[in-house]
Amino acid sequence: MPSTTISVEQITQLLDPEQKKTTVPTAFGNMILEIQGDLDIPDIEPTAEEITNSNTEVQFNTYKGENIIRFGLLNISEDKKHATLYIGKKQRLLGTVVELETPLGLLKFNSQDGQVDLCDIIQYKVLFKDRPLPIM
Amino acid sequence: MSINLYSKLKQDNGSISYKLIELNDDLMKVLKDKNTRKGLQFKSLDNEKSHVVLCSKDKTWLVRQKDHSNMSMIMHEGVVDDDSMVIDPSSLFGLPPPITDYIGFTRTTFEYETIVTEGRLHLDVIPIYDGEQHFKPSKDLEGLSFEDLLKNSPCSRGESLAQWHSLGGCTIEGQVCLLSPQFMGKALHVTLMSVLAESMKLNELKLKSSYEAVSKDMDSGFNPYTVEVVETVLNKFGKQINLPSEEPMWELNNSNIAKWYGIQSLKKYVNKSALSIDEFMLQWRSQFPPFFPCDIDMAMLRGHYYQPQEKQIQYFARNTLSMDPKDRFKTLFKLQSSWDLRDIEPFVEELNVKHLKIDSFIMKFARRRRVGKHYIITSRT
Repeated sequence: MPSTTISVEQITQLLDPEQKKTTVPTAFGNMILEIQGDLDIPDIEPTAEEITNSNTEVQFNTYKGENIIRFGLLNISEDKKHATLYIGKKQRLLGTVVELETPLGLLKFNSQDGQVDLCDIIQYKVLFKDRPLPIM
Repeated sequence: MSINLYSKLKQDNGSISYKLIELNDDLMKVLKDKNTRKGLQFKSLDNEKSHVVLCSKDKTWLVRQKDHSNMSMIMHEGVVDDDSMVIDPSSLFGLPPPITDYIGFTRTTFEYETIVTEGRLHLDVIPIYDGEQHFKPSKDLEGLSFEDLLKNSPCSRGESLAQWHSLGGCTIEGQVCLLSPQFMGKALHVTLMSVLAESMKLNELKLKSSYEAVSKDMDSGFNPYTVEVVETVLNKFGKQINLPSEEPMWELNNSNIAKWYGIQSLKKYVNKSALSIDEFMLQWRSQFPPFFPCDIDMAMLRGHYYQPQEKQIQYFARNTLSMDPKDRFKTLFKLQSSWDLRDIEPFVEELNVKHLKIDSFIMKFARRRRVGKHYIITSRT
């Protein structure tokens, strides 16, 4: 029978009763952004020409050697209840910071060595459930 | 607070993938306890068809994929490699410049839901032992241990052990097996007779002394009542008490033993024809070893008999009933036209999958009326 033990080494400090309550990002710096529908983000690496021709709305960069794309700007209100997501120059989404009824564990599966790690516990998410609004 | 949002272009990262799993209150309790958090395990019967379960030391959860129509991007705080990248001020919409960067490293449209379930031992291949001298299971099962069985079952260790003990699981010549009901009955009787003859306390039985008491009465030939069989009897009919720095002891549950003798008596004396309750009680009482201290009551045997006539009882095997509630109630009312709620409850409770109050569940299929302090259940037709 296939079975895999879940390693919880990475989250032991989160389970310390003295641990301060986190808000949107977890103590490990993870966050969930949830959008009704989908984001149209390219999934292929840009060619040198594309990078040269890219305008300010589409900005490519790298993070730890991997290609990334800037797709927006998130603003969270001071009371940590409301959020606004600006996508490009034309769309904005109004959303809320939601405390999850059931916390979510972030599992990392490694199919090469069969290892499963529970790497974080997420208590909040930034939820955008309405249609996008135009930016005037 | 303004944050720059990025997304990895290539989300598929070879051998690494990320998933979200619901951590309900029970799972959070397991994770918060230093002694239990390391035992969490995913298990499934095979790689393709069967469900995946999540097991702690003593609980099992069914893991189900819960799809939703939203897109969840899981992001991590980081500093992009080229921090000289200029953000067009017009893209800030009057907001202060971003204080940090978040990079989306995976996107998902589902979460794993965890539903508490009853773990089940995978017993399909386990042979039955009837006390025979030459016990030879099939070759592919040779040397199968309890640990192998546990590994092959979508079940936590705690639940596996409880089920194994309650079903009469044993190890004969290094091979796991289940004791047949007949042999279990004989082994119980022999153990009780032996420990009572030695005036041992039934709530402080030690395995070694109990086995020695059993062996004392045996001839020099083949003795099927090995130390493993005696331990199986103690586990099935008792509870192990572990005292620090002492040999483990078992406390026998006399009412469980009385119930076992009662069910065997039902099968023996009222299987094919009914008997008056008084006569049956006499037969039941006569089954116990001399001086075995226990009280008996027909209430102990609820769910194993019906009353074809007033004050008469007859054995009925519950596992022969249909799993369809309508058919099951129809059969029960054919056997007995009116039931005390307490008598019919054990025959139907397994069908109450939505965990309604039992009388509310019964009223969906039958009629209820109050007589004195009790409820009488009759057919709707």
